[in-house]
Amino acid sequence: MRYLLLLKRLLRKKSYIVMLLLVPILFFVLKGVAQENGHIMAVGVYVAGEDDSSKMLRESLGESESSIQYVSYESEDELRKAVANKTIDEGWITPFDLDGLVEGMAVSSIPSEKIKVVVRENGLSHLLGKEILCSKVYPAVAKQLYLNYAAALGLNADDKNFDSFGLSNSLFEMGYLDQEEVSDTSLILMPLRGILAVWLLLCGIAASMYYIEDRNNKIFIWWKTRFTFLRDLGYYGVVFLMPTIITIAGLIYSGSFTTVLREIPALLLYEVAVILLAMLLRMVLGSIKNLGILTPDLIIVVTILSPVFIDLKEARQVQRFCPTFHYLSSIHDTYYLKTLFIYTVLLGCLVVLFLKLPVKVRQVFKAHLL
Amino acid sequence: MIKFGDYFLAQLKRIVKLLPGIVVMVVIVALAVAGISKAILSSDSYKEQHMKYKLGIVGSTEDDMLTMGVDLLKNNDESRFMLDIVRFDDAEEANAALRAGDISAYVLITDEFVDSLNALSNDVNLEYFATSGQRGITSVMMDELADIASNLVVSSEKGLLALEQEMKNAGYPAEAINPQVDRALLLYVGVMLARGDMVEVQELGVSDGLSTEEYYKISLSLFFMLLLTFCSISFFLRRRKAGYQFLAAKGLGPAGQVLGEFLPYYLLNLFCGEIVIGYVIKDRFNIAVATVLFSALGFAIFEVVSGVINKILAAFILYMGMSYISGYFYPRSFFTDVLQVIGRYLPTGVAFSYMEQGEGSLMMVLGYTVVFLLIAMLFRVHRIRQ
Repeated sequence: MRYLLLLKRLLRKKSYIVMLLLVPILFFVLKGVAQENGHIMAVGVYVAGEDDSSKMLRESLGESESSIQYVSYESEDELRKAVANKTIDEGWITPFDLDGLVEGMAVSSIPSEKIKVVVRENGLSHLLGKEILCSKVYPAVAKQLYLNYAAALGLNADDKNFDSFGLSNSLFEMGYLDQEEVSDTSLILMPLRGILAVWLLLCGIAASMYYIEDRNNKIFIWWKTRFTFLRDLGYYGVVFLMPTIITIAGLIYSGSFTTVLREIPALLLYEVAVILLAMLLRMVLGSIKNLGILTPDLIIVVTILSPVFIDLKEARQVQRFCPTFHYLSSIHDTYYLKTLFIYTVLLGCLVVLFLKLPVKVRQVFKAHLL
Repeated sequence: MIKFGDYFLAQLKRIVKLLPGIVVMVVIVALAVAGISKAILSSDSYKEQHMKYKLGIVGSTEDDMLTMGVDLLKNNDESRFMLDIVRFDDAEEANAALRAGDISAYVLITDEFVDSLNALSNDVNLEYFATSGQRGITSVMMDELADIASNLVVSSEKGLLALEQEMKNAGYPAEAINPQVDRALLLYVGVMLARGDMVEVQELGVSDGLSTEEYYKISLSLFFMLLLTFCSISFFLRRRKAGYQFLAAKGLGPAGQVLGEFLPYYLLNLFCGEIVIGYVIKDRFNIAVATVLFSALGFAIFEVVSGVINKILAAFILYMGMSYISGYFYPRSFFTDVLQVIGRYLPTGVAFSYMEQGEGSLMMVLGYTVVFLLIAMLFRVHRIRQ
């Protein structure tokens, strides 16, 4: 009953409602603009010729559903300008006689006229682009090699025989360590789970602030119990009720939700860890002002240490101190679900220990720390 | 009557009093941004330009074909300039390396796959693992590499199968077909290894723009300056409506109040920014203009949003969202055309354009600054009248 009253009181708080609304707004905005998937690279293509190999390349690029964006250009100059002014990351210019290049490659001779890859600066990106380009032209070379070889044996071979083999084009498939199927999240929406996790951490700090406010208003005089730790856990749990619903809805809406069996335990465990961390910070810092001052740094550090935008692999050992890192990594790897559990238990022990410390010891501790 | 100059000095003194706490926060943010700089400079989007991917291969060391394949990839294939191949004996070892961040991904080569490849039937797929968490850029890059390898292998297989079929149709006996298919296979391997001969790379140079390193230096400096505005949040706490009303009654209107508070806030951000970017990072960027824009943005957010946690939350979401879309963490080409345009015209994008191109974007920077200060003034008017 008391928890229900607390929930009703929270839902009347303007700051709580604003906190709940900010993230869904972000979701709708990002989802709205991310209708199209993002690209890791934009490549401009000028296919000069009209021969069979040129047509094949054009078709292959048109059908491509990769994370590379191909932009067609009408002239070489236009394409070079686009590379120079960074409209595209690199440009491919094929010779008029692409068939000649393909035939040359099929007889293992170095072609006199090559495909030009135009880049602004040398780096590994052009190597990836070059590899993709070669893999697009290679089917024509493979076909030509077959035709040449068959002709040398006196066989009357044709294209149709080569094309008739409907082999699967995907020899490789991405897997997750927990053997779950891969869900295809939009590139642009990838950081959303991380943002939600950091938002939940902020909700934890907010819960600590509400708690301090209620304690200062002497609300807990009417809510005495021998099990303070459990009462506080329940208090934070009520604050987390709405954010949990919003997080799950957000994950489903953005297409990042995997399975109930994986998402719910990971989320609940993460929330308990965040609640315990928020309780610990409340006990150490003691006031809303101190919490407010510390929070920006805390969320900046958490965002950087967790794989929200970038995975700071070089600082793995430091990352392990951050609950968000364990949560974000646990989505496809049960190993991190276990480490999140251990992290939560250790944090819980620390909170209980801190609660049991005599008030005077805590005051001395605070005085020395702050 | 309270004069603007007196109020400005009073606010300046207030912010100087808060300085020790703010400096501690700036140091933490500077360390965090130093961390992110290191992460980006060794991240996949940057690696794409400067460093190799480390790819693990798991498979039996007793398999001669596999050992030969790995050696070819390591020593003869064009991909050696892009990939560092690391061999693992079992998946557990590779999992540990992936979790520790020692490799970008690993491929698990099973006996079934090798048999299926030998039989030229693609009924068994090869699995690769790139992440423990949600898919990221590494996974996308690995998808591209997997597509490249698939295209090469499958096209060669088609040629070999077609040749085998054609010879069977022509009545060749099996003992005559197999040696021919083996010879053709060697030709295919030769062409695959020589595929780089099809292409020549032409470098235009970066004389009219930024190199990748310069791009990230600017974006990270701007990101740090944006976060700096976060550090002085204590300046915006414990402020009372009655105080504003009192000042207004004493002749200092909302415009005077906002400017009197904004200027010390801006000076503090500029001071911290100059110290960290100018003397610690030693980059000679002109940060005064970008700082005025970010300070005005931070001021408007902290003025408009009430409640400590909501101030932080709103600033966090806006800062991260805008930095992300404006290409502070990934290159701009990562985003769709629409998002690229939006990112360019957001305050973060305008500040980037100013740092990149100079005077051309100055009017936009100043325009945004005025708009943010006007918003803050409007809310101050509202507070005074309440």
